[in-house]
Amino acid sequence: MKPNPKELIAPSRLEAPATCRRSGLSAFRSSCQVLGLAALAILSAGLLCAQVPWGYWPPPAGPAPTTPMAQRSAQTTVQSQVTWFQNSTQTASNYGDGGYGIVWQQFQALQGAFNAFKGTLTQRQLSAGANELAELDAGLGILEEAFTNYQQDVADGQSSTSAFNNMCQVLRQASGVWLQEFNSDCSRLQVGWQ
Amino acid sequence: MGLPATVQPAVYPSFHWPALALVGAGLVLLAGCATKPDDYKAPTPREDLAEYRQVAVDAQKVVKATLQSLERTVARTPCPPRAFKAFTKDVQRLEVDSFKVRARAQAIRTRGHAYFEQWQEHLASVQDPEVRKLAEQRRDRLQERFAQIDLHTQQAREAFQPFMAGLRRLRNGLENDPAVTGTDSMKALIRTTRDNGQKVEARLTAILGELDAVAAILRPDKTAKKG
Repeated sequence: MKPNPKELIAPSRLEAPATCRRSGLSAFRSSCQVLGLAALAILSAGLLCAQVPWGYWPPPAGPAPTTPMAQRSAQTTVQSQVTWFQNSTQTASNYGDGGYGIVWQQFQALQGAFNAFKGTLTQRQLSAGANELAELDAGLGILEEAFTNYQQDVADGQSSTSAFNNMCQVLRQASGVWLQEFNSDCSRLQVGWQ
Repeated sequence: MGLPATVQPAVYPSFHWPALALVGAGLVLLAGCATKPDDYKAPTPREDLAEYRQVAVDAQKVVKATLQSLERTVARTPCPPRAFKAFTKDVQRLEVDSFKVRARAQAIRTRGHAYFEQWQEHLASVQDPEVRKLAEQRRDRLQERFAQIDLHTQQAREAFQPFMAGLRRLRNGLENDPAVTGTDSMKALIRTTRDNGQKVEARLTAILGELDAVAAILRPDKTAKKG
């Protein structure tokens, strides 16, 4: 059975229904609305651009953005990482020999988060907070010493359980002190402020 | 033949225009409120002298307490379990409570002269105009004192490391043998550790003295005013 030729005609060539026919005006209105939306998009982009120096999405590869939002996000990551690190010092003893590795891994993650945080600071903040940032860096170095001390204590004959518990307690408390300093420095350096 | 429902032209209600215009106007107004990174206020400088003083005082207290704990622990051989437990706690407390001063000492070592240059910059921006003026006029005297603070801080840092290491070795030894303090090698270790602890204490006292001297340099001369 041959198909009806009328059925082969593209829909666009079909007779328009009454609603479309009377809408020469409607088509004009639609295109005006599209133009209006485009204008709004440009305005919105202009607004965003004023607050986000790196421009439009996606941000370019290379140096991290130094916007207040990026700073707040990096600050929160450091704070959360300290909490996770502290949690790991509390639970690591349940993992037997693997506990040391877990705590060490969390510590390295904290170092990474802090380095990323520093990457979000403006030149002005880096310069004004050079001493504070050097102290925070040194603080992480002191925390790292606790891992060496643990190994030394075990080599000196202290039981590994006792040495590990000591290390974890020192790390937990000292990282709390470090976090206090970090928070107070962030506030002083106006991290994440508009 | 009618079009399928999916290609039916949409009917845009005419009330969208005023709404769109309102949103547009709102965005234009908001754009005016946008801030640029250059508009940030300058970070607040910290009170370097007062804060370092507090950190040094806290460290001095904990070092003193640890030295006293050391004396109590080695006073009796074999060491009573209770004394050992307290000593372990005190060593741990020293590690934590000295954290800030050690971080500062390390930062001063890393930054060197730049660390105290920043102190000088902060003094130049204090609110009190008289202190600002004195900080500028007596810059050389301040630099001398800062150099002394640097020196004492590094000496305290250098003495702290063997002090802490000695305490940990003593704690480890006592954990294995409560009578270990009676051996010659342990007696020598106790003596060295005590000496290092006293050195740390003395350097911290010297730092506090220098900080007081800086405060005196920045204090307006009352007799000169009267004259």
